Amino acid sequence: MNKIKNTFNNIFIETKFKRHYKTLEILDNIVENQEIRYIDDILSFMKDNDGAINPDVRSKTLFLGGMRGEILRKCPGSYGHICCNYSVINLYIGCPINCSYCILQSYLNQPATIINVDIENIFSNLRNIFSASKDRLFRIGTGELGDSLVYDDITNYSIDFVNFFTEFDNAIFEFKTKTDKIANLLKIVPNKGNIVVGFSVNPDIIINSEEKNAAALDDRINAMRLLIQKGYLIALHFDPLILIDNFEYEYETVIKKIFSQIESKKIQWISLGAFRYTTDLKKAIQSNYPDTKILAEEFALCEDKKFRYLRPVRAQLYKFILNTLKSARSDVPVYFCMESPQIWNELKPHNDQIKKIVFGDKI
Amino acid sequence: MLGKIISNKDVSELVVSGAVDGSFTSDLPYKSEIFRNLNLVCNNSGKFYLLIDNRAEFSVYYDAPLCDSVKRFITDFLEMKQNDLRTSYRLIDISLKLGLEKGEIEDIFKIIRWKAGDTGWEYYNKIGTFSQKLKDLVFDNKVSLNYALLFVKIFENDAYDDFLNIVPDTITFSERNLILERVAEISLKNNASLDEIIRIVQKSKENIVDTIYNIRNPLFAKISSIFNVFLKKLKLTNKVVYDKYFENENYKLEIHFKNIDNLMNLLEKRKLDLENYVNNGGKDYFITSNLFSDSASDE
Repeated sequence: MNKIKNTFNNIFIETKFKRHYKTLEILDNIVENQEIRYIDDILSFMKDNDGAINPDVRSKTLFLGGMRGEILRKCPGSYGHICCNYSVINLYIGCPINCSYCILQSYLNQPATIINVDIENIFSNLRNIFSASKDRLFRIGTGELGDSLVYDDITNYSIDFVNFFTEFDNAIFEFKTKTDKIANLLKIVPNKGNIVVGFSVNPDIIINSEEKNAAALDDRINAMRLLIQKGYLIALHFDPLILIDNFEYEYETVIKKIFSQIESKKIQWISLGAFRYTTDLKKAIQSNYPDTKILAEEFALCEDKKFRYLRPVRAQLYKFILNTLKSARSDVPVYFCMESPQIWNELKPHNDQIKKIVFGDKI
Repeated sequence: MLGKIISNKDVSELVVSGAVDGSFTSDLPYKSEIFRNLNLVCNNSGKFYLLIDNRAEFSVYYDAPLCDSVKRFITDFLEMKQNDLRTSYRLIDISLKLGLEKGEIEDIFKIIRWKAGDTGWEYYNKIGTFSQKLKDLVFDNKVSLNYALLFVKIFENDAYDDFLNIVPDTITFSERNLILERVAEISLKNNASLDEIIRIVQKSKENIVDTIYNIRNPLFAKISSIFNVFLKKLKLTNKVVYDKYFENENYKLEIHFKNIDNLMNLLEKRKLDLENYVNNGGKDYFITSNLFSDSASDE
């Protein structure tokens, strides 16, 4: 069941996009009569408003406008760690799901959730990029600076993206989500086979304590089931894996639950990434979620200046998940997200399939 | 709006509508040596308000509303330094005692370098709940406010001064912050009470910083300890450069030498030390899997 109701106290709209069809569509889908203010551009908006570190505060104000800069960017990855060759489009900046561990707390301080309504610009840029590099396979997602589907009930962007990507053979598009907001996706048929819906999964005990507004695990699994029936491919992201009491029991339950309901051949890939944080993120977590226990474990400072569980602890967590996936008869390609070469070499999760899909010849 | 310095005799002739004991104003950071304390008087539409310090020789008079007068008093006479939380906190106190409205005080937040809006109030209210000991540590810049807040959040119902009292004055600002943070994390993870932590610290032969670190990081402490003993046995203490978290197996050996003969002798000596260790059944802890498995099994 969706826990998030997209209600905003304030709405700001970039004047240039005042009459844009997407702006009007979004406004139509927001029920309340909020005060709407029009502003010249996003930079002046940022300048005139105090920053917001707290995601709760940020998600109460909506900004609709266009975004500057590159449309398709390489996922920044992490220095000294193996990167999975993913590209991102910033459609949403800000997320109301309120996960205690979310890295966005340290990236973002703008006072509003931003929705990029300049969809024609995105698509025309992508069209040029895909046409110019027909031999290259692009793996693209919109889930870097916000959940891909959390605002889909007001933007209907999923329909636009699925339709757009049916034009291309050299691109795989992934929606990454912790919601079950799939109503739009169920209205259309992804007939190209290049649309993946990636679900981040965790045990309910973590969902309840650390992912305040995310959908329950059962609801996410149900959404996966419905999407598969409709012809979508699924991905699973065990990211972040969080060290908790009864880790083995809790994660085994998640894996068993998923694989008892979802055919493994419908799952495109599985990523694993243990919880990690930067110094700035730690400060933000301490301020925004002072009761969380996720920072109380032992951490190592890694080459990319991120803190991760100590190497033997991470290896143990990954090994357990890999073995449990094997026991669940999963032959789904697995990769680590932002892990060190030492961990990759020790556990070797990848097979030829993942090499081809995710990494090309990089590994 | 200029302030006028007037004598206290003139003040006593005013019909006063509201007066607040401002004896604490004497310790405010005045810009000039000439005024080490001042009474504040303002004409708020015919009503005269006073902030009185009995030791003040002069008063400053503003023909303006109370809030504007307070703001001018601060900007005209006080030197607001970065991180002078004591003064900022006291000025909020004074503003409240003078009966200023919430919004008016939020305007003052900007002048006194306090956090804006609701966060500013949250900070003010939370500091108000601190013990005097913790307040002093924060105001004297011996602990960061953020770490104090984290600490109090976890131990608000405990007699945390008992713990603060065993933290020596001699440690640095960042060490004290880390101690408070780590103690809070120990409690979050293990539900350990401050009393238990105090007992462990008092029994420990190590200094408090190391003791708290080791309680907070038992596995890492074990790994480090095994590795340090290993280096000692190889007579390589302080000679090997390595990643202290053992994220990789890249070790570097530092050898200082004067010439080829000297280098050969040193290498021969190292070789003998290594052979001696191996012949006595010593394990190779440069191989991290050995190090990690023994650290885990020894626990």
